[in-house]
Amino acid sequence: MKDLMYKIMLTCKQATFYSSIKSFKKLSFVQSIQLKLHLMMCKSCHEFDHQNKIIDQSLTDFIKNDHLISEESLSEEKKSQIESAVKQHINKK
Amino acid sequence: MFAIQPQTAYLQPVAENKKYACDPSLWVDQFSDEFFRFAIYRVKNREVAEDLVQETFLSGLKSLSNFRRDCPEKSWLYNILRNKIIDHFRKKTNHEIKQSSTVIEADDDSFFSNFFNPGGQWNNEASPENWNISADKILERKEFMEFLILCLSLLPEMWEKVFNLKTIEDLPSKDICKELNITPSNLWTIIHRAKLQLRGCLEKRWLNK
Repeated sequence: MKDLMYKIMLTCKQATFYSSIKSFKKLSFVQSIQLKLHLMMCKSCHEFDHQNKIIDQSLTDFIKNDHLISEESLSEEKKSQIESAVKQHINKK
Repeated sequence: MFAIQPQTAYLQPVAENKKYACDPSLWVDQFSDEFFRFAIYRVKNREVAEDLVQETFLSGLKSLSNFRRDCPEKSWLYNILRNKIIDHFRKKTNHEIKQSSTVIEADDDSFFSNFFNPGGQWNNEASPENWNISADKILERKEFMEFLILCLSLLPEMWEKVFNLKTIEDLPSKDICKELNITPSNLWTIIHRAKLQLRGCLEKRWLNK
């Protein structure tokens, strides 16, 4: 029984490995059970897993386009300033 | 360097008749408001966002000859804008970057010994603390993103490439391996190490600042 437990239980190093790669690769059934078990019992790895999610979500948020719903726009003054800078550059060529 | 390439090498060359249109004289009209919103949402500062939009168009013009037109000009310009935003965050925190971090390039054994004891359990000083914040709330904290970008830029180049291909290009893992010429198990190790490093860096710099 003890041997079996050792085989099932992940070390923190293994658990953080599964937690890190799971957004890249679907874990096998056994691996995901092993990870869940470990996270239930290990506070540090539970935090690690949670923070991993925050990091992934923030990175996605940096890339995704939810600014599209915003109403902000460039001031007319700045826009024409940019316009003329662009024109100037095109004409130089 | 945490640089997002405006183009990706994995894209096959396209036939002449399949190239996308590109007309810089329409850029300001077509894209400037949208780009401005993208920038201000991230940098939270009007003037900075305006300047970033301008810089994006100007560097687009400068590198126009490198644009292979294998994607719409808008996507290509978006990549430039993202780079500009990242550079902006980087400049803000540049003084910190200089004094970083040699552990990251160490080999696996000595790298992992910074985090885990030989039995595979957390070392006391490396074990994650409770950040005491939910995933939703953290996105409201604008400085978190700055620290995240800073910590990303401290990672080895290989992880930045993995990050770009995964998050920006949304490539499946097997294509990431092909692109970077590494095995899947290399990729998993890179990701594991990067996540450990990134989380530790955030805790040290952002939480305990």
